[in-house]
Amino acid sequence: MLDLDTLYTLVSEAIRRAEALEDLCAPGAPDAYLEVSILEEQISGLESIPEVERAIAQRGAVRAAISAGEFGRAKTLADRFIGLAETGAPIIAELNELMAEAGRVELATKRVTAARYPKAAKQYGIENIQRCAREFVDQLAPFPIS
Amino acid sequence: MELHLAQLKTMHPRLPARTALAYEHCARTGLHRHGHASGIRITFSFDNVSVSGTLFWTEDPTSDPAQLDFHRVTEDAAEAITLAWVYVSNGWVIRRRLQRGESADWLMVDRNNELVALEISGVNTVDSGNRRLLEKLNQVGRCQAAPKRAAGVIELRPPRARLATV
Repeated sequence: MLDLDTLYTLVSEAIRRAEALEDLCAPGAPDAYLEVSILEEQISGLESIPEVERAIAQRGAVRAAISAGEFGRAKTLADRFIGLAETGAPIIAELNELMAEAGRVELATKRVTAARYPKAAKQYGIENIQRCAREFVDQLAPFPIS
Repeated sequence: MELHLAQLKTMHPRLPARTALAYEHCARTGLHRHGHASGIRITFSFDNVSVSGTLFWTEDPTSDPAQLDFHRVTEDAAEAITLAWVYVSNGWVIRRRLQRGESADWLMVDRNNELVALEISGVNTVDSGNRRLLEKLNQVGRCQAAPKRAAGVIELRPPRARLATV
């Protein structure tokens, strides 16, 4: 496990890169945000971290997962943080607010995808296609595009 | 007061080395736009108390400013100057970068080990009517990450640096 100083340097660099890629609408932005989310999650798990900074890292892990388009990960993280005994009411409220935002972003993303692929959306449903794609990714299998 | 932008990494050990180099490069590029050279006089104003100082950087004749995004240069130049200034004048040191949703750019620690949220912005010419500074103060006022909050705006043309606390 890396120490806090190292993780703070890494997350600072990762945030800068992710935001620069997002500004350029570059295809690598979601992956860069996923890296931010993973680093924030590790920071939030350190025992030695002050509570204020743990809350920043928890919000950061969830927020970056949303920016990465990883809504399932965002929900899993938020549920885990909310379930921790030491999580106070203000951070629970902030995490719930972030999850409400995630819901709105996810819905908007689905609408955009459905508008872009109307035939596939009508025939299979965007949710089913996304679920199928996720399962292929989880199995490290190639997505059958033909 | 003298600010040496080449020493950013020494001032802020948690600032990634690549970021420190990029910041100095952008400061050099942004200040060159206005014909400024290392050793330029600059006015610093912190909560309306002004002092003058000198800004130094490493000249690099091989660098190519055409490869850089204009807006990114302005913003990163502002980060370089502000981070050097708050270290030299206030002893603030970087703790970590904050994500956009936190309403501030950096979480710093002051000499008393208290947290400070710092929002930084840059303008290529001048900040007419303090519009950008007021906007950034309003933004950092929403930040939950630290009890002490500040915003800084760097104007590259004069050059001039202004910082205010919420």
